[in-house]
Amino acid sequence: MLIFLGKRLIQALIALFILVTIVFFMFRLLPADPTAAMVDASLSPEAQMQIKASFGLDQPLYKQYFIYLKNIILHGDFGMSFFYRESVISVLASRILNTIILGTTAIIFAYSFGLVLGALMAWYRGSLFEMSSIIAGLFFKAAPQFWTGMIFLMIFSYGLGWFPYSGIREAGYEASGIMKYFSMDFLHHLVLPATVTGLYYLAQPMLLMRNAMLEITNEPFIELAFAKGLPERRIIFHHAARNALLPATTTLATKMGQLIGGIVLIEYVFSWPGLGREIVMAASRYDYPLAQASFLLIAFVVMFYNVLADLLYGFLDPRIVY
Amino acid sequence: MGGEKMALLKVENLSTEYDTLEGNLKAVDDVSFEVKKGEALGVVGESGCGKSTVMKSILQLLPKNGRISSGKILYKDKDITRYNNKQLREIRWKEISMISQGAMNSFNPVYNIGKQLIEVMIIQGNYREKEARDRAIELFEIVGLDKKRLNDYPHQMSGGMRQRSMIAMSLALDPGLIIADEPTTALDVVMQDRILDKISELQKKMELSMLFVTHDISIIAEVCQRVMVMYSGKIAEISTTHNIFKKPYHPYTMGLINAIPTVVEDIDHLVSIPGYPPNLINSLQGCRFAPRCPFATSKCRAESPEMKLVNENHRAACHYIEKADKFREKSHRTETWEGLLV
Amino acid sequence: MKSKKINLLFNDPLAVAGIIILTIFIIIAIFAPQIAPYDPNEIIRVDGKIQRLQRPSGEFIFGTTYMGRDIFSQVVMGSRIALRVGLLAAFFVAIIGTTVGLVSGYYGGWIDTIAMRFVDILYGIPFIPFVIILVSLLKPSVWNIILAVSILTWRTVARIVRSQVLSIIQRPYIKAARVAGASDFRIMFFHILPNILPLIFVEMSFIVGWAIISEASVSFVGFGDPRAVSWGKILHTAFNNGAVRVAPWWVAPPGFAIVLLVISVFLISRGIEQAINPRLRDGR
Repeated sequence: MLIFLGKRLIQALIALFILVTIVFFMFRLLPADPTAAMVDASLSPEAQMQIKASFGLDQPLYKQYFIYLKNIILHGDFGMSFFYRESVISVLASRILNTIILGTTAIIFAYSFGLVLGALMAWYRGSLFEMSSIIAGLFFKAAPQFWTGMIFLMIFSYGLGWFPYSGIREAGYEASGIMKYFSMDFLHHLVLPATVTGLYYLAQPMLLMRNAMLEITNEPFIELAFAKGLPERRIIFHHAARNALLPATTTLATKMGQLIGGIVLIEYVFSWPGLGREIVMAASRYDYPLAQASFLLIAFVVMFYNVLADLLYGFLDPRIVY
Repeated sequence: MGGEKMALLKVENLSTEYDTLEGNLKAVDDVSFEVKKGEALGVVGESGCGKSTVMKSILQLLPKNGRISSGKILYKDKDITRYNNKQLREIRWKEISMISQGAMNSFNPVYNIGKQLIEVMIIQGNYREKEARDRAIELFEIVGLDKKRLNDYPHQMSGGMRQRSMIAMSLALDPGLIIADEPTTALDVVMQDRILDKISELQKKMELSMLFVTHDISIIAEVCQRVMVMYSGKIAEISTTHNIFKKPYHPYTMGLINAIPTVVEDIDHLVSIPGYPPNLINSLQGCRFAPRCPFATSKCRAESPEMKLVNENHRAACHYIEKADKFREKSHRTETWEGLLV
Repeated sequence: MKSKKINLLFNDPLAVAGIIILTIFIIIAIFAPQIAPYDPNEIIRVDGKIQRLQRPSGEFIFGTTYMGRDIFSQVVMGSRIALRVGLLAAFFVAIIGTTVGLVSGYYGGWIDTIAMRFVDILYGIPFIPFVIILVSLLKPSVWNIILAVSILTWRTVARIVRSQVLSIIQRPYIKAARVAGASDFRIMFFHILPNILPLIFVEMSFIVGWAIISEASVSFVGFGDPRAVSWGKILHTAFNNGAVRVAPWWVAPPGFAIVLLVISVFLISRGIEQAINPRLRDGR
């Protein structure tokens, strides 16, 4: 198990390293003035000189690259945000957590609902329930997430008034620090964005689960379970579903990656202060250091989830590990 | 061994049908037989002869498109075809258990063997966790498996070990009847032999009542006291193992016996029965074996033979029982079978 | 055999529905300027008063925006961008992905390893953030969006094509072609490729939908082509003007247009998939 984990981690680190390199070159080669990518033109000339020096912007490209890497790996220094006038890392620290919480809640919702629905769909094949689940899943998959978000806001926030329409807490709310994440108010704010995100990703695990269940029910051990006289519920979930969820779980990694990538849109619609929203605002303000770093951190979170998902799969399917 | 043993299972005029796209398939046609307490009845026949369907009918594990169209299945004198789900669950595994083929996924791949053994004891047998665990160790001992193996996952075991686990599991609740459906088919010859030995040993020692299904007549002799030969949904012949092998009355049985290679005799080539069993979808006239029978007459092709009593313990479905001695002689010769136009 | 499969496609009611809907969209896109009653950017005044936030009516089928623009005309014109992005991106992705997949699967060895490692890395790149970054570094334009979408999306096609190539390469007629002296190029493109085409078509259909949604998403967050009227851009303006609070008619139509177009393409691809792979057909 540990060897498995170790290998995955190394793979992830290499990929991350390559990504950092790609980003570096993108930001140096694409814009008209590369130095504009790191240095805020509105700063005083002395301040500009300082930054240029610390990032080695007057030196040849390959040296810049090493300085860039050194800064990131050793100091966690991504530069100064043009807009916030703070170090990028201090801006993004809280954002990462917000995004991770939203993303994790959404994927848990999507997969737990999706898997259960898929199992029931297969067991009650040909029913109206199955048909409507397929249609619903398809609809939410075809609808862009941000639009679904807008519709949900229209109906549930402004229309029915059940949920707040932006942010992670009401203005002036007291709890701060880590405790704020456990408050009812936070959860209240979390429901809508997490649900909207989850609905988009519901379809795939649901359909994969359904198909896998249909195949599994033909396996000999299911017949054995019936012959043993076990109750039907136990056969559906403990025996059939437990096996059928394996194919769906293989998609967990890629879905998580997609989800964090797409979470930009949800954070924008719900004004959720996470990495996604930050990257949109930073890019539109031409705050390049912040945009770069947000992008890299998003990629980092994606990779973190990928490794986690692989671990989970190894845990669920003993044939992989043993 | 006397005839006074109580009949544990009585199947009376059982017919089972499947609804298929091509039409109604009568897989089992008016089958009647008994299994006495403490006795192993072998059920032998080619694929598609209906033997598996009979077993599934007894276990009430027919697929959605299958149903018992007529007849009774009496277990301890109660007709289980009339049972509702609740009643069925009462007898499942506690009274009737099964040993299946042992293909790769005959056990659930994501749980270890021990868990799957203990599961049925706790849920159906109302054992407590500790008792179940102890009993599992005991069962493994009976079948000759090390108790450490209880923690193995199915894929970590060899085919033979899996089959032993199957056997152990089938004994867990001291059932009245065990149905073994091709239990050694998936194994190699050496392993097959060992498992058969084990099953035979257990059957005799524990006086287990058993239905042993296989397509390979050569392995029946070791385990079973009586044999039922099925062909095309019907019973061709049913008698003691000795009679079936030494004095068969149905040409099909004769064909099967003669197809067994023996180490003792010098044979030039094997006798085999040419041709294939008929398509069961279209209703057939006459004896179903007639197209492949070297002794078939026009009467055979026109009329379906009834089950005739050869003696107290022996029945065969053929028009020409009285000619059986002659047929037996001819059946030893390969030309008899090759003479068929198929 | 091919015509039998096309027959199967037309027997599938859902696929037929998809084809009809897609055709309608294409017709709307082609004749958009004729169909749209107003210029999408025109600020409509009646008796000198700007027609802000008008509810849907006979005059304005989908109502008007905050700036007094006809939403129906915008949605109609927006179909052009959607189809252009969808079809072009799918086209580029098909070319790049298929070529890489073919070469990688056919030659194997280190070419394959490097190509697949590269694809793995691409898989690790978050999609929308990447497109946003790329578009913000270059100029925001429809072409740049198509470019950005294509650069990442070919990864899925490459993988699928490669795995197909790996299985086809074992087949006797490929070995026969090699023995007969056919060049690598010929084998790849004239022997292997025709067998993979149906699968590529299926994947393409998914990609058309994906590209349309991606463009809409990027435009929605403000990185779309400022001169173009795309469905995503309509929703961007709607959102920023608080339409979610006051103007549902502004929010619903562009979204439904996207949903309809994406579903129609999906139904077609599902139809193709079932026609070429009999095992997927329901009933058993």
